[in-house]
Amino acid sequence: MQMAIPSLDHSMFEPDLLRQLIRGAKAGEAASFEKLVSLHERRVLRLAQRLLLNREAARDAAQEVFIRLHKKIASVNEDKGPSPWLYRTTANVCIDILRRTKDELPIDLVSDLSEPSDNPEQSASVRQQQGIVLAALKSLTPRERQAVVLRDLEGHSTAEVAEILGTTEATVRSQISTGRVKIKTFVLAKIGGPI
Amino acid sequence: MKRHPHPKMLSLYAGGDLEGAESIEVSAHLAECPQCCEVLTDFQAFQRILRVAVPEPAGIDLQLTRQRITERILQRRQAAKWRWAISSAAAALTIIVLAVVFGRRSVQLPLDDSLRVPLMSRSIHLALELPEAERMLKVHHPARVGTGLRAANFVPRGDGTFQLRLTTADPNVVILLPPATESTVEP
Repeated sequence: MQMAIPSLDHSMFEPDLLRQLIRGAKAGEAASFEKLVSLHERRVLRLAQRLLLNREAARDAAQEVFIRLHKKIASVNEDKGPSPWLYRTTANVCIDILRRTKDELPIDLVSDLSEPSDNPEQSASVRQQQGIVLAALKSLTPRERQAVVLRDLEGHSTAEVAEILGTTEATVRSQISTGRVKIKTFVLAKIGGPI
Repeated sequence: MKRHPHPKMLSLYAGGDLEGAESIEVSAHLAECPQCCEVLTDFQAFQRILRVAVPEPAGIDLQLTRQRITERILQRRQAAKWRWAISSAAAALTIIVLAVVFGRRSVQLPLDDSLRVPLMSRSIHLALELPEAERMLKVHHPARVGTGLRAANFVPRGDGTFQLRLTTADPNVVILLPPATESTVEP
């Protein structure tokens, strides 16, 4: 299944609308800020889930990101929109959580993927494979995981990932290549054969 | 490229992250190496699997997140209102305290009520004798001649006698003229 890959391109939302909402939020309009939250909450929460692999921790991270946005709204660029700031802050907040919890958060996303099926054995097999892949993602270091998630799951270019993480493209390539090799090695070791 | 590329290179190639000469070299090698083609296929498959492995956020998670954000922002706004109210009250209190402190320093302590009636008559009497008081001022305190007289009161000395208390235009200068020869100037 091929998924549409989003990017940091802010044309996803009407630029004039975004500008208007940001100006309103800067002026203290509650409705404008709530609208900004509603436009970006799914992306922030999804990124947090992909980085933390834990729903409750992801919710906490997303809350923290938007509270920080509320505090720092004055520094958001009206033309660029809040997306770059949100991605960067989400990545930083998740790194802080991973450090604080020593990356020992349990994975609790497995059950969400499988849908009711006439073939329970197939569903179980899908859940098992999903669990292995998520465990492989969790086996990466926080920095490797950030790079792989932002590049392979979120679909940002290496240049955009470098901008979000505040590092160089060379470092990002090193992190994603290491991460991809580790994931492949981990999964193949678990399933004991080709996929 | 005769040697097999490192798996990291193949993973970058699989993700479209190799450019330029490196990409060309790997392409050329893959055209002749089925083993590396298999590794490349694995990497591409894992990237597809990874994209679907993490589900989209559930509606309940979005709802809970939004709810909590709204609560915390409301708390921040209320806290900000309280801070503003407390700061304003503190500023007002400070102004009031300063006004009282400085106001007291410029207020002359009233004389004993029992002396007011007699002083009234004495004050009226003094009104006729202020020129005399000014003459005495010139004699005893020439440096204060330029200081205009504002008021003159009799002040009890505690031994049953009174002394003349002259208040001048300079609030820092009050002249006491006892009924005897000595005189004092109160800064």
